[in-house]
Amino acid sequence: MALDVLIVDDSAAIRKILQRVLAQADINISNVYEAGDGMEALEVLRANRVDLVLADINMPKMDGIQLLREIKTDEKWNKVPVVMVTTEGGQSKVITAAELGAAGYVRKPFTADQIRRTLEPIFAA
Amino acid sequence: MYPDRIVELVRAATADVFETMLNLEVVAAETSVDSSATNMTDGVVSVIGLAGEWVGTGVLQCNADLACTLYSHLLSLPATEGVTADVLDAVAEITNMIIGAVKNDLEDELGPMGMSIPTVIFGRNFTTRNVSAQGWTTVTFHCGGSDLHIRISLELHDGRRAARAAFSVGHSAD
Repeated sequence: MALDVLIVDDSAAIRKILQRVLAQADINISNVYEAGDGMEALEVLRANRVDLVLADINMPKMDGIQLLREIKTDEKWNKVPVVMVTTEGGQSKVITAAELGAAGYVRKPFTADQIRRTLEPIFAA
Repeated sequence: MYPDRIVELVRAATADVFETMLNLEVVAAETSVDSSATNMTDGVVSVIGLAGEWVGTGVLQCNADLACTLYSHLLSLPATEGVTADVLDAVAEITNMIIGAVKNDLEDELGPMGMSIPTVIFGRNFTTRNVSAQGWTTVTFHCGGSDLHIRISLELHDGRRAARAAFSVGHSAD
């Protein structure tokens, strides 16, 4: 089954890089949606089927932790895996994301292999 | 906060970002600790605020050529139109990764810190000034014939100083 992926990051550069990593990975991608903050991401989720969310934490308007909370407390989306891709490497943020139900956590700077290795078990499950 | 520790963390974070995301050689060069908070500059300045028990600012500064090189290496695309919004976005993200990594390591010693969204400025003959009692630790790198400066100022939070810790930008009239 081809997947629809939502990439949420206030940096257009990081959104492009993640798109490229997904295109090169052995994952069957159908559509890639982009959002610059958590509010935009919720609009994309309301309008489209999404199978995977890759989200930054530090973003304007709504940060990635609040976005994760919104996704995991809404029964329409709470089964969608959310992987945090962020410079925020502090233990408290990692624990908070895990407690809220994040499926993975990748720290920037990242390699394409790190993204692939994080996504593989999510889609193997 | 000891400047030597900041220098060590900045060098490690910068080397990691350049190797992992840019595939670009960067050579650590001189360091300085300046009491002056005012700096005349040309080119690109990217600023991130840090706030917690310790408060401060992280800055990446480089010329336009190096900003375009950073963009090209980050995205594997040529920067054919000079310093565009996309180039500034790339510099902001590189700043975010470098200062973010330094912040993550400092949190073990200084407690949790929040980090602002980066602000990036591009221009000529402008002055940057941080209204802070603390000086700057500056770490310079050589990269492709240009210099990259990472500057960090940190001080222990007290309400009076934190209220004044705004970063301001002025323009030279020459």
